[in-house]
Amino acid sequence: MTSRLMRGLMAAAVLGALLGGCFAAQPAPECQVAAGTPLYDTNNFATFFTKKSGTCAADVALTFDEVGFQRYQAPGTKDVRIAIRTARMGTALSGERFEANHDPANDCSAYDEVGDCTMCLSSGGAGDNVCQAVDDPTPRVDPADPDGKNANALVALDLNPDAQGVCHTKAEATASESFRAEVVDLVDGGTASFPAFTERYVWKNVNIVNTTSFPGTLFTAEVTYSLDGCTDEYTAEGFWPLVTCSDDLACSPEANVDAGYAYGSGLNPAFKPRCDTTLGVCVLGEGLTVSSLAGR
Amino acid sequence: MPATPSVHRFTLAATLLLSLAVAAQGTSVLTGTVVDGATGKPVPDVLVTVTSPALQGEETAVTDAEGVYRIGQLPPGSFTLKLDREAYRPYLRQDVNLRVDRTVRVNVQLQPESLKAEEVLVVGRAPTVDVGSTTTGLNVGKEFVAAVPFVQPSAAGVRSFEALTQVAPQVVADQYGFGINGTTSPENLTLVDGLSVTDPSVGITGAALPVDFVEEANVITGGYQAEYGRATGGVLNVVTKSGSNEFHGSVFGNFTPGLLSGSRPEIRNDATIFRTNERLWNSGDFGVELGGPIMKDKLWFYAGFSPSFSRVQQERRLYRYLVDDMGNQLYDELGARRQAELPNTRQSHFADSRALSYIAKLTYLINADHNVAVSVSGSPTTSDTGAPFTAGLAGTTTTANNVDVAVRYAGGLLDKHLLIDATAGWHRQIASTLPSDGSRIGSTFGGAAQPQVIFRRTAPHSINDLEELNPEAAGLCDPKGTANATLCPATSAGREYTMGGIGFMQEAAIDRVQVKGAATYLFTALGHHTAKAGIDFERLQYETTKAYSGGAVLRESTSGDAFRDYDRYGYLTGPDTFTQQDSLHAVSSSNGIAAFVQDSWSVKDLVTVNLGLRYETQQLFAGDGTLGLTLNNMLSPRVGLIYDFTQQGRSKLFASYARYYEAIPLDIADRALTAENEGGFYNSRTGTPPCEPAADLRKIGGSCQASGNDVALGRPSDPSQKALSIGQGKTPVDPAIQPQSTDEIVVGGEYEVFADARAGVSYTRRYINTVIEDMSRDEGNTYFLGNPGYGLAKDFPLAKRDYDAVTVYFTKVFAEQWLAQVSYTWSYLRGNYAGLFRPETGQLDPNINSDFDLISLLANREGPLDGDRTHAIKAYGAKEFVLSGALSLVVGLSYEGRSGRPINYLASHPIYGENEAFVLPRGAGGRLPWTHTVNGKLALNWKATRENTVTLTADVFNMFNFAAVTAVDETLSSADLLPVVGAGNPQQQLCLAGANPSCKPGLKKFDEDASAIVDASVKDYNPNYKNVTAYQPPLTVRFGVKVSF
Repeated sequence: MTSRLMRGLMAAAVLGALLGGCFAAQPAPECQVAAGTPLYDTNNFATFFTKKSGTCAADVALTFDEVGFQRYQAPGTKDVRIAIRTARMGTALSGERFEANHDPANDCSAYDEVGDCTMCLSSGGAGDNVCQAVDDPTPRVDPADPDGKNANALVALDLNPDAQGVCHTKAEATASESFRAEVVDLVDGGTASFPAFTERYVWKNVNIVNTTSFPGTLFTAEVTYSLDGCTDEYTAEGFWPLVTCSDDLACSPEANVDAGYAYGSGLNPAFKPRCDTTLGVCVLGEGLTVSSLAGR
Repeated sequence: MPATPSVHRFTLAATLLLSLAVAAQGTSVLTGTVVDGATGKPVPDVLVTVTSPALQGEETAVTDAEGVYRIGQLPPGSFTLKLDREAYRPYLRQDVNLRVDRTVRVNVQLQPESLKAEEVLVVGRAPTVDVGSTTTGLNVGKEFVAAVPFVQPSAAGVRSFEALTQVAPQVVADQYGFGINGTTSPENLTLVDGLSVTDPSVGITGAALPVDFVEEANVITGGYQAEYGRATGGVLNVVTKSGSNEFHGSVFGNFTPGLLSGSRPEIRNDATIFRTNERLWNSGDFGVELGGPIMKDKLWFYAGFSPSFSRVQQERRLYRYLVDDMGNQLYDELGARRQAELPNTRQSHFADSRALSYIAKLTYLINADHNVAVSVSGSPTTSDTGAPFTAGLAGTTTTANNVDVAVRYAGGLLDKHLLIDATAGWHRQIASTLPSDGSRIGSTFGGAAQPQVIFRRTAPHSINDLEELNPEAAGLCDPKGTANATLCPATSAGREYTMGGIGFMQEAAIDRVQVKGAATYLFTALGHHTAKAGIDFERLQYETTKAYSGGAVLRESTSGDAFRDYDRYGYLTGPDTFTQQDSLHAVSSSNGIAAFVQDSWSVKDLVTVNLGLRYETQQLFAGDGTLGLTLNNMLSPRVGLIYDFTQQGRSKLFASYARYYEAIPLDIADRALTAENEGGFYNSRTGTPPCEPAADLRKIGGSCQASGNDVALGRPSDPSQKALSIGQGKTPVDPAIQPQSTDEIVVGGEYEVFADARAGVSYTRRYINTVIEDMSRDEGNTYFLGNPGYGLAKDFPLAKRDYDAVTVYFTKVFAEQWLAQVSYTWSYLRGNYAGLFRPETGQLDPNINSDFDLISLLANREGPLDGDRTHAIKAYGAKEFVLSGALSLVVGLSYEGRSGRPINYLASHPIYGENEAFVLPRGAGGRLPWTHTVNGKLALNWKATRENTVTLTADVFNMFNFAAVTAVDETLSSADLLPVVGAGNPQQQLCLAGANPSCKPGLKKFDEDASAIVDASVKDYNPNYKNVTAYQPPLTVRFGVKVSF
């Protein structure tokens, strides 16, 4: 300890003699990525997908989803990894997503107050989604991956951002599950069967912005999504956190006591957030995109 | 950041000052003009010789062409001045008192030998006005400390020098020390023999030594020159005793018996069934000090050794609520719930603290021009907080071992026109907070291996769930397992019940290595210049090892259905793959460089102009060695003007302007600039096997932490479903961040009214420029370090702390058997930022406390700050009565009267929790009453032989046992009350002032999920609001014996 002190003192002397803190700039932030937690009731990234090309049908296309990131680094090492997981894949594992072929444009709103309706079942063509009650939600299972670990795409990340304040992933990352078929019992009698399906996300060129204004709260990426036979290419843009809303006031970063908001939405004021009432989610302000914010 | 358990408390640092101080080691100056008594013309080439018991050998100087002489680098003490020149009568003046760091002017009229007639008598005494500087504050010397009662028995019984600070005007005691000029105590600089002994981690005073080892202390409250920096408060400059040519020393002992303490009314709080109180059992100290020559006029030594102790009795009583036959709560006439003590449930024990203070010094005179000093001192301290009254596990022991080692060199070149001072020193603190049973971080046995369990279910637990009471008491309370206890609720809204291990543990090693040098050059150019330049390197290091006892803290959820378990140190290496660390180890550090230039220019001997400039930089490094924060180019100008209208050293009119920069303590580097890896799992209360922490504490580690009990609470997009990581990464820094600084303006005047006595008046104004704090623009989701109101934090309000004070004072040094010191200060302290700790919660996290964290926290924060005392009177006096040839009695008296501090209306904030929201503007709750403290002292001195004196003393503190209220419950509500913006209407204020439970002032609150605003109900108000929570300390008596030789 003493020798470290002495070395430090000599280093201080040299440092002092040379630069003396006249010209030193504040250190750049490390590569972090924002994560929500049920502990503080914060969600993950609000992510928008734009299709570039592909063969999948319109009703399975990605448009908007909640995407969760998590950062891993053992102390004292320089290896940083992140995990990426979409709500779409996560809901299959949690039993909240039953119908792979469910048309999202259909309103599955026939839930009664008690909440017995836990499933939205399509028994025919579009437009005839019918609410059915099941005894227990049924998580989908991949026999080759019973713990669901493959739902997380894992990849290495830079330790420090580049000169533009962007952190890059060092390779591709894949999340892939092949769910087996399921047959569930309906409360009203009878059963419903769901075919097996394979779903895969491949994440490429994930760029996470790390500046003092945006500490890991913005990202862009390229995503290849496959469902059974088809494949689509997307660009993805996301900001953190995802906040649900019914009007613009709910998205405001400031508290609005008269309207009943004890505190702000938790969104960065630079996002100039407003409410997309169709999605029910706060989105970036008019004319702002993740890329334009990151460029600042 | 929000307040967490890891708040610094007892970091008394033992500073081993190895200051090798040999010979004339000092910073005081004697100067003056010698004129011909007949013609009035200046006399050059007069040989001026000064001698003193405090000086090895003698110091000489020769007057210049204008008759001016100057002798610097003198230690404090009593000097004899002798002037010789051919054709003139020799001149002798004795008892010239020099205090630490002072410039005293002694002008002399030499009488030509040719002049016959009567003897020229030396009339009057040496002047005491410090004509060289604009500093405010005062000197506290040995005679003052011996005669005046004000040094109370303090932590571990050490009567430490820090108490000397309180004597100066414009100084207010706060939770961690003494705040000077409206600032907080961590903002001060404490120097012992020239080296900083400030705690490098949090900025409070990091050393303690008994006043018996202290020669003198200079409390500098403001107006100081560029040679002092790294403080936005004041400076406490302490000089320890040195040896002399004769052997002198003393043996002393003091004892404060708790039996003679005054009584205090019981503090009631009907919101809880527990009442704890503490009283002093006894405290005392014993010591030996000795100084003398090893070689006369060449090598001196001084050594001191003093163990001390303090014992406090802690008692806990248990109560139950009284209900009528129908089960309804009974109330007393004041509206408080009636309670009765449970039979045979009183428990008490002792909490002890001990310290061992020591000092050893060598002073070596190389030759007439050069001397060297070495010293070592320390005050290792151990404090027990006492075993908890709950399930018999270990209590907490806090230790603080400090060592200060220093080497000092002082020399003169060019016929003493160039003076060089150089000092190198090492200040080291080893502090720990560990279980009292001797277990340490990493132990697999004892208190360190037991997790802490916190019960906090909103529907209260009965005391029978948590403790084994005797059958009679148990029968009077709700039975075990009651879902909603009403008779003996052990938990309630805002009140937790803790059992098990001590929770947070820490072992820390804190170091400061300091090397500094200064050169003083005297020259003449349109007057006399005393120019000084210096450079100073400082390296701080803060090594911490943190752990939670048993590796986890189990915190009951408010619904009672689960125990949260996420205070573990550890990290995720993959989804749901949590690696637990037994402890967290980090070494953060800081490099600081300072350089200064100053000149004290006596313009044609009419007016003195002080000009100085100080340059500082500081770089803070995170726990992994990377740069965390850099503070560049801190330039502080210091300007002062002094005019002595008597031109005799008997008066001054002065004005000064100064800028002070803060040196940021290392706590920020350890907690915000270093990633803290914390996380854990969710545990279910019921599962296989069942998790019942209260059932058998030994099983806590097993059943509650079994992996079968983990609950998957992750949402679909969360990569980890059962484990969570809540550790913050490094807090990013606003690229445009500015250092923290305060400006000061002082204007005043002083006049020597009669021999040895001066009176004066001064006006001080201090205001803050920029503050560094951690802030969040997104309601606590992400944080950054910046300046409120600037840069990234433009939408935050500016930090404000405005202090205005006018002080009128009178000081008479001890001469002709009496001394007096009286001051009255009127002051006005307003703002929204108290300083480096938060008085409302006690959070000591300099520059990263919860001030300014969220914009929504900042409503109503402006107003009179906690340290505001409109009126403060400090009066001290002592008189010696000679009873006979060998006996004398000294009677000392002190009076301190202060108007009360402001009272706030505090409620809970939806995100930050208890006491973080100001419902009405700061201070709207009125003021606490005046506090008056009268202390008395009797000292009987018996000159047993020519060399030896025996002194018997009795100090009575708070002689009249005044019991002024010094704190009240300021929590208006534990609910999330809405701040009232716009001062609140008078009806609301009146209603709240009465704290009438049925009054409806129309306050609103956020409901449970903070989604709607509803009216606050009567149930939301804290029935204890504005009730007393603390009284002024009671009367205590201290007896002392001292044999001096």
